[in-house]
Amino acid sequence: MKILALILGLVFVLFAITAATGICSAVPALGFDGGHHLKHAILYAVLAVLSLFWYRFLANAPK
Amino acid sequence: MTFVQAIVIAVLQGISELFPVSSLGHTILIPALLHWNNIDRADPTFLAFVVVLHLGTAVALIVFYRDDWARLAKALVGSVVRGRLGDDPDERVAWLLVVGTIPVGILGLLFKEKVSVLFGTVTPVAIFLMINGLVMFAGDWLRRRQHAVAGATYKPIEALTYGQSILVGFGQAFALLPGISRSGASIVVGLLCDLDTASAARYSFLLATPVIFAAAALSIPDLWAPGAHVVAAQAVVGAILAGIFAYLSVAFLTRYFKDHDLRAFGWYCLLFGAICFILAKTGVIA
Repeated sequence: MKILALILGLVFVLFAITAATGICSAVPALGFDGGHHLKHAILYAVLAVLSLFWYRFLANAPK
Repeated sequence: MTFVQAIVIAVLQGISELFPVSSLGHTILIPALLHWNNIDRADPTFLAFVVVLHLGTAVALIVFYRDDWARLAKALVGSVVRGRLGDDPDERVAWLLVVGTIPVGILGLLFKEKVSVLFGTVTPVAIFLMINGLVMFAGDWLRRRQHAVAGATYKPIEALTYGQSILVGFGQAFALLPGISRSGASIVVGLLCDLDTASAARYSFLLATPVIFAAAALSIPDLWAPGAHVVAAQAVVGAILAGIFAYLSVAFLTRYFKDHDLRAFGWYCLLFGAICFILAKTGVIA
């Protein structure tokens, strides 16, 4: 689960950057249509932060 | 939009956002019933006005649950700073709310506009309102059966699992369909997760707060969109009225659900939805 949390965190960071900068236009439904999508970027950034919190909680959980 | 129309829509929004009867559905059906053909729901001015009303509603919810939010925020920040989850019930509820907000956040951003374009007319809204009524009856019946047959006991909010919180969040996401109530759907799923009606309603209202607030906050740029000319007096009075009526509604509902279930709202949705459906089909409203 720790690995999953970390991967999700990194994927959402990439999604946030992609949605904000509009460098990809392959998946319009996810906000990747070549335009700048602030709302999508904020959502992905929030999900990235939450995933990284999840990773930290799992890493610090008692064995 | 006239001043009277703005006031009626603000009051309607404030009340129906928390009552399990679909605010989105009512802001489509009531103007249609009153033949307010001058109101275009896609008009930038109307969208900007709705943002202001949602901000008023969100502030009312935060004010009503201010002590809860203060404790929950403190517990949430504490766990983040520690980097570890503890046994504090407030901390648990705070993270349940965070997790439960994720489904509607994702689905709302991806599908909200498409859904409102597809179903934002009177007939589908009336049908969804009737379905909303049936969902409340079904939820209440299943809950009773669960407790009568299986002997399940009610549990406090903090005893929900994260999976159950995500389910409640998905329930809330059904409200993207105009006519399906956000609070109604999330209360029903809460009941099926063994919360009693009062706890399910409280959890639903707490869960609604960040969603309404975030949706309104993200739509603030709509206030300055090209073609948006919100009259300042209408916006201010509308936000205040929506806030006051939302506050009164949540105060009423938290007391009401201590002794009552969802069936009264189920009947209302069924009857009102059926009347609007018949009127739409006979051409009385468009």
